[in-house]
Amino acid sequence: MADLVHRGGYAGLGRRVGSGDGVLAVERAGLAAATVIARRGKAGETAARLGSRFGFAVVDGPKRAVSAVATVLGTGPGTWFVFGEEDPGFVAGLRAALAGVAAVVDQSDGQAVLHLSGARLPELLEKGVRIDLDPARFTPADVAVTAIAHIGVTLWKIDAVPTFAVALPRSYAASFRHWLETSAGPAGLTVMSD
Amino acid sequence: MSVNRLATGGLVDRQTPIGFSFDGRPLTGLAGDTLASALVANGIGLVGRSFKYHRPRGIVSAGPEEPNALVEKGRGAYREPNTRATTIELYPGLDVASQNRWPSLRFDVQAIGQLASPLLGAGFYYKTFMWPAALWERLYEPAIRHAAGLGRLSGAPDPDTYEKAYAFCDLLVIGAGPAGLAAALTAGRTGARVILLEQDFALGGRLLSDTVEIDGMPGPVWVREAEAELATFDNVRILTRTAAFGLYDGEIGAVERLTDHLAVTPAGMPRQRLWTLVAVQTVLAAGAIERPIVFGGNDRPGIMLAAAMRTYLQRFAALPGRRVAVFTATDDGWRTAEAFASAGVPVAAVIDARRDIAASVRALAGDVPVFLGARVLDAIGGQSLSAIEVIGDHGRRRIAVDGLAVSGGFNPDIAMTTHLGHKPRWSDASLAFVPDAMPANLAVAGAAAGRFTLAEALADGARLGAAAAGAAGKPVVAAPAWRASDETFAVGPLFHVEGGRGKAFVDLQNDVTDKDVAQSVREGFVSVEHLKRYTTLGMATDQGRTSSVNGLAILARLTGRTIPETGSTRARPPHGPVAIGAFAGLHTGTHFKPTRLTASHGWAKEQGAVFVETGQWLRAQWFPRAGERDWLESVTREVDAVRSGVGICDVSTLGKIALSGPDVGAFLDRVYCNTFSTLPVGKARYGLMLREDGFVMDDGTTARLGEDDYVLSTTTVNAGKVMQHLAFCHQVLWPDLDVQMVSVTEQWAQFAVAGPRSRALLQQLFGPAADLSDAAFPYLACGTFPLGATMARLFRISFSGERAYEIAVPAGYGDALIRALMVAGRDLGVTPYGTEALAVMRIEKGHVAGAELNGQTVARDLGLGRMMSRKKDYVGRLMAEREALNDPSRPTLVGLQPTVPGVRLRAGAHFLSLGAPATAASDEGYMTATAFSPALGHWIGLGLLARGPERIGEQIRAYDPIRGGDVVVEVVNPVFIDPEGTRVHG
Repeated sequence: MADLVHRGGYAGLGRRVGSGDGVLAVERAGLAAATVIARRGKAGETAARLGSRFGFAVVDGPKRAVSAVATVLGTGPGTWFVFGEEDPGFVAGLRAALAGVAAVVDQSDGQAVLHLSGARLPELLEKGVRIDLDPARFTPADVAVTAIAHIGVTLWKIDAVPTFAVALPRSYAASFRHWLETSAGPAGLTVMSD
Repeated sequence: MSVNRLATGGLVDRQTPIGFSFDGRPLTGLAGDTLASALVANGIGLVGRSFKYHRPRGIVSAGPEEPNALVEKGRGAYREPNTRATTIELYPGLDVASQNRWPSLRFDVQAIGQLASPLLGAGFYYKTFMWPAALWERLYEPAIRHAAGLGRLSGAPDPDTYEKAYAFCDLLVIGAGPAGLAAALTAGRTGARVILLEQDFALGGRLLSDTVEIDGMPGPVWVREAEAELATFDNVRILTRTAAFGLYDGEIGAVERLTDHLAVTPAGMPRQRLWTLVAVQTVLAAGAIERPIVFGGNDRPGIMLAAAMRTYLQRFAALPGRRVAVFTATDDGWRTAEAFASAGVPVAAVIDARRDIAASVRALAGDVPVFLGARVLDAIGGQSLSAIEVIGDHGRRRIAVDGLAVSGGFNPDIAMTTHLGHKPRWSDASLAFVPDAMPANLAVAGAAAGRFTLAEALADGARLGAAAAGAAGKPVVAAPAWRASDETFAVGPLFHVEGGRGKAFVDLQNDVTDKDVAQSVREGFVSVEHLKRYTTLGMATDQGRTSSVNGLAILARLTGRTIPETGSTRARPPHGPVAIGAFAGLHTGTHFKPTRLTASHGWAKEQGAVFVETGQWLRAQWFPRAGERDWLESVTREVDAVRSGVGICDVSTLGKIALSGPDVGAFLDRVYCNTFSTLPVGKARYGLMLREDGFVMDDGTTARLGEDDYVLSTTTVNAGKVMQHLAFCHQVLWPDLDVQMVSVTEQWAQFAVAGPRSRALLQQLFGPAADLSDAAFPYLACGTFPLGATMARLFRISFSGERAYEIAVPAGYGDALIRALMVAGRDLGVTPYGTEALAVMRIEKGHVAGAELNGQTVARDLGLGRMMSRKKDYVGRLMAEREALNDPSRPTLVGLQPTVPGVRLRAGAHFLSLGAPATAASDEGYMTATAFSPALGHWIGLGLLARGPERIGEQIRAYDPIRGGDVVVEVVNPVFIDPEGTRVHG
């Protein structure tokens, strides 16, 4: 039987442009991820169970809750995107914990995730994100489901430095890198992936 | 130093000379110059030829309203025509050429057209080239196109790049003159988020050109201090070289020029950036544009707006004439006389149409000759102005001049206030249109509001800046109160001087004269909108900034109406020219839309695959091998390999939607026309989805992998549409159903493994982990099996008609899986195949695809009528019962084959009965898809033919006039290969 090697969405797309130090984009490959959709009328209960599983408060709205083991992102009414560390049992465990209250669909390979940082990051984001990312308005507690360069993305903020995370359907990774290169190239860009 | 450069003063850097060229002639300007000011400083008055009459023209203004001085900038692919000399920032090596002249600017052959000018009035083209109609395309249109127009496009693709950006603020200020700076300072000091736009490269507006004081400081000094203070605020962003061009719902569009002023573009730097700005409050402080006066010969080079002359003198230290007269109906015109006196070149005369002038204004002229209640009747000269003829109490008098400063009043720059449909109002006090009803969250300050004095501008800015800060929760503690020097702005009504001998131009850019307006009225075009379209008054790059009001005033007088009764045209965005590339941003060429790549893309590229766009996806179309002469040879080999052995094709691009919840069965019954609630775990079923109107929307299989685990597949192209449709059905039609769904297209890499040896290949891959015997895994089975570190989904479904499977793994394993499949199948002769082979095999099997699922077919047309359940309701059921959709004469799916072997069939050919004339009335359908069938050794086709199934065996014509095709074909069963369907089990 074949043993298959896993590749992240940005595999082979690492690159350094210009000085390389204006914006740093690092792929987070191998994260476990799932879409959680509450059964009819069970949004509150799903939020509560998600919260008790991970030990933080989860609300039904565009908010982020995070712990060492999981990140829960509100992406729609009664809908969350949940990321876990590289744990093959993460999605199955989540499914068991939410049995009867929510559908849990494995998306660990569907999304390509980059962490973005660097002194010139705000300038880069301004060239693609059509929402107000002012630190007072978009905080690490917020989540946005939006689009960058005609690619649907989920965007959240990891810290106030700021470091942002952007998740998008993995088939778009090369096109997204084109946006990164053309928009951050003059400032200097490094994309790091497998 | 250039011939007309003043020795002192101005905001130019005499230590930094800049070499540039005009029509190939090397010239020198200074840092801080525009092209126009550098030309003025070099004594160049003749800059271009006019649009229609090729008359010599000079510089009229000092800003974006310039109607005349349009030049071609750059060379080769970088050539940009119709660029306003007044907005081009001088840089070393700038290379510009005059336009609309041949062979040279001084000697232009087409200027002879002036002799024919009595024939070239408004509507000339409409009336003259009517007959014979046959000559229109061959003669008239080419001739007109040759003669008309201004600059020439390069004809090459735009070599520059552009980008977009988005920004948000509490206060957006458009224009950084006194009102704009006051607003930005007032709000900026409170911590409110402010964005300040200035189309010029320097802040200050008229403060850079006029002799005024604020708090005892000269204008430019105050501007410098204001700019320095603004720079200390993190919450204030200043965008210079940035012109707002449109007000849209909740957004303002602006274009920032990043490299147009640079001799060398830094690597990777886009030329322009298109901003979308979202502001809680916007203050329009765009100032006002001076209005010329219409009189004979008013287009002679040397005649310039009075305030523009002051700008050249005082901002650029460039002398726009050595013997200049001032012709004014405003107090402001007198300040130009004062400016010339200060520069040591007193004016020859001041001619004011008014008689009642304040003493303080009269004093500005000093002791030069003054003519009150007088007018300039004619300007005399050829390629430059030589004299003016003044008429007044003294009778007629000719005054020798080389320049004339004209001031007819000021038009507030209010176009942005009308972009959302609001109308301005005429002010008899200002003799101008001023804003009236306003869009939400927009306010107007200073001269743009018709409040022309410096004190009013500063007060407006402070008031509106404070209001915006307050609305942002940052109240102003101590409102600033700037002290401005006194000035008056009285204006008298003078738009047009009649009786001159020379042509009197209303619109310099479009060569529209007072006679054209009169002709328009004579011919019944008395509405302002008709006047504009009949004469072209107010069109093109300047959008009528200097011409509209004068045209209206003349129209009003000729029709016996007041200006408010006559009305005004409403402005539409863009307010100024915007390069089309700026709207596209990064999204040009192959990046016009994003591209989606499958997990096996890299592997397919290594194999030398040829790719095809399918929606946003790139798919392998075929895999050419060395020695193959064309695509057909490669595709035929791939089809043969599948039919005789085993082939692999990436089918990851098909849409995949995961469904879960107690009501999935009921939900699927309602969205598919066939039944799904009976689908057992471990099985897949083909389904057909209709639109509400009864036509077929999409098809695909749905598999039930677990009790509560369904996956529905869609065609590649319709994946988004089906997801949207299902979400609509659930959220709007049946929210009571407990169903959860999400796209998992991206989660799974999926490959079809097809051919008689497909089971052997997969068994090799899975080893003992999976029992793929027909008993354990029959046709239409589905299941999940361990594969290395992951779990693979397996579906026994077939599009080719052969025994076939689809195997799916999490996409991160997709690259590894295609390589593993190739290894597992090496001894079986495994062959990768692309979408072309896939298409050949589906045509051979008579399976419908995009060409037949075209939005115009119902299930019955496709031979799928029996799938439509009679036991349940579903989307499209009722509408599909409409009589016309069940008419037996509707085109219905059939197969076609040539009666003479070797003849090629082409999709798109129309069907005609033998002997019927080749007319639309005889049309009986068309060929939807064709392929060369390797198994049959000839071309085959699928088509939609009227009463098709009844006509099997009949011969018809496949008529293809576009490609010269006309062949006799036989109507056959659409299933060409294995009609019994045994091979799928083989």
